Amino acid sequence: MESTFYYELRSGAQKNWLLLDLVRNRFGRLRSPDRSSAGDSLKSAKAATSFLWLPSCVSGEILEIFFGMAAIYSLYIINKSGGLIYYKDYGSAGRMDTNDSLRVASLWHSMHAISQQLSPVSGCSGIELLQADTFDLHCFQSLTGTKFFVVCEPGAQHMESLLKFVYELYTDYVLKNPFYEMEMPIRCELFDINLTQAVQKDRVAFLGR
Amino acid sequence: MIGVGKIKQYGNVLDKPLTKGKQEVSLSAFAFLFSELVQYNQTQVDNIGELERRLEDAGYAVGARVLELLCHRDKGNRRETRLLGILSFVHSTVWKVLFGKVADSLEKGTEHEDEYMISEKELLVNKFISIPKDMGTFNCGAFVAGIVRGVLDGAGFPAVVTAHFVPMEGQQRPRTTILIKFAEEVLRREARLG
Repeated sequence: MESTFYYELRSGAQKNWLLLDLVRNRFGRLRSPDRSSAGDSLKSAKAATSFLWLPSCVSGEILEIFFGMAAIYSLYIINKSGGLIYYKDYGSAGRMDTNDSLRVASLWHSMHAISQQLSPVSGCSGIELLQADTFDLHCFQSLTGTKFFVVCEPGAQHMESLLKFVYELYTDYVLKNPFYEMEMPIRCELFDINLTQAVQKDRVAFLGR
Repeated sequence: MIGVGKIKQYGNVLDKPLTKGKQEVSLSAFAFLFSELVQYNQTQVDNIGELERRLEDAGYAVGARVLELLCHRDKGNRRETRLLGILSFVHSTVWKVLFGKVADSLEKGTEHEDEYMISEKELLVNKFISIPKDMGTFNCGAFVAGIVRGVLDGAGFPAVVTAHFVPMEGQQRPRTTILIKFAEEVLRREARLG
C-alpha cells in the first residue's frame, strides 16, 4: 500500500492548501507489527507546505536575528468541541487576525480527529507533532479532550514539557477559578501572568543553549 | 492547616489527640471546594455586595469554631481580653492554624483609632482566583474577613471586617488587606482598662 497520504484541506477565505505528507519511512516503522505502543503512532508527520500557512511562520533565523529570540510562535488551547478558548501570539511577525486563529484551531481539531481514524494502529491518540519547513506544531491532549498546542521554530526542544506545564497552569489558575465558565474563552489574569513567566523562562533556557 | 500533606486517620474522633500535630489538607481540594462555595453563592445573589456578605457569613461560622478550638487547645481555656492581645492572636495563632503561616503584617490604621489592618501578600483563598474586570473591587478574601469577624465577635470584640485589594508598588499583583473596624464599645472598654 502506498503510505503517502495527501490531505487536501481548503480554507475558504484563503484558498490555501495543506498537503500533509506522512513520510514513508516513519509510517512504515510505526506500522511494523512488533510496535505495540499505540499512542506513538502518527507521532510524527512531515507536512510539505509550499506556502506560508501561518503569518507568524517566517523562518526562525530571521526572527532570531531581528527580534532577539523567538522559539515559540504561538500557543493555542482548544476545548473538546474544537472551539478556541485561548490564543496567544509570541511571534513578532505580526498578530494573526481572530478569524485566522479560530480557523487554525478548528482545522487542527478536525485534523487531529482524522489522524486518529486513519491510524493503522488501534488506540491512536492523534497527532502529537507536525513538522513543516518553517514551523513545528506540538500538540498535547488532556484526558478530558482539551487540546494544547504550540507552534514553534523547527527543531525547538522541550515543547512537550512546556505543554504539560501549560496544562498544569490551566488546571490551577483556570479550573480552580470560580469565575471561569467551562468551555468558554479563558480570561484569567493569573493564568496570563504565570504563562508569560513560563514562556519567558523557556526562552531563557533556549538562549542558554 | 491548608497545604500539601497527609492526615493520619483515626477510627474514632475521640481517639484523636486535641494537640495540634501536623494536620494538613490538600491545597487543591480546598481550592476546588472554595471555588464551588463561591460559585454556589453566586447563583443565589443578585449583586456583588450580597455575594460578599454571604461569603463573610460562611467565614463567620468558621471563625466562631476556630476561636473555641484554639482557646481550648492553645490557651488552656482562656481567651484574650485585651485588644492588642486578640489582634495578635488572630494575626499569629489563628493564621498559623488556618494557613500554615503568620500573616504578613498587622498595622494600626493611620486615620482612625479604631481601625486595624492585617495584610497578606498572597491570601491563600485568592491563590488561584482572578477577579473578572466587571466585578470591580470584589475580593474573595471576604471569606477570611468573615473568619476574623467570627473570632473577634466570639471573643467579645464586635467589629466590622472587610477585605480589600491594595495595589503594591513594583508588584504585579495587589495584596489583600483585611480591615478591622472595632465597635465603639470595644474602644471604650479598652480605655477603661487602661
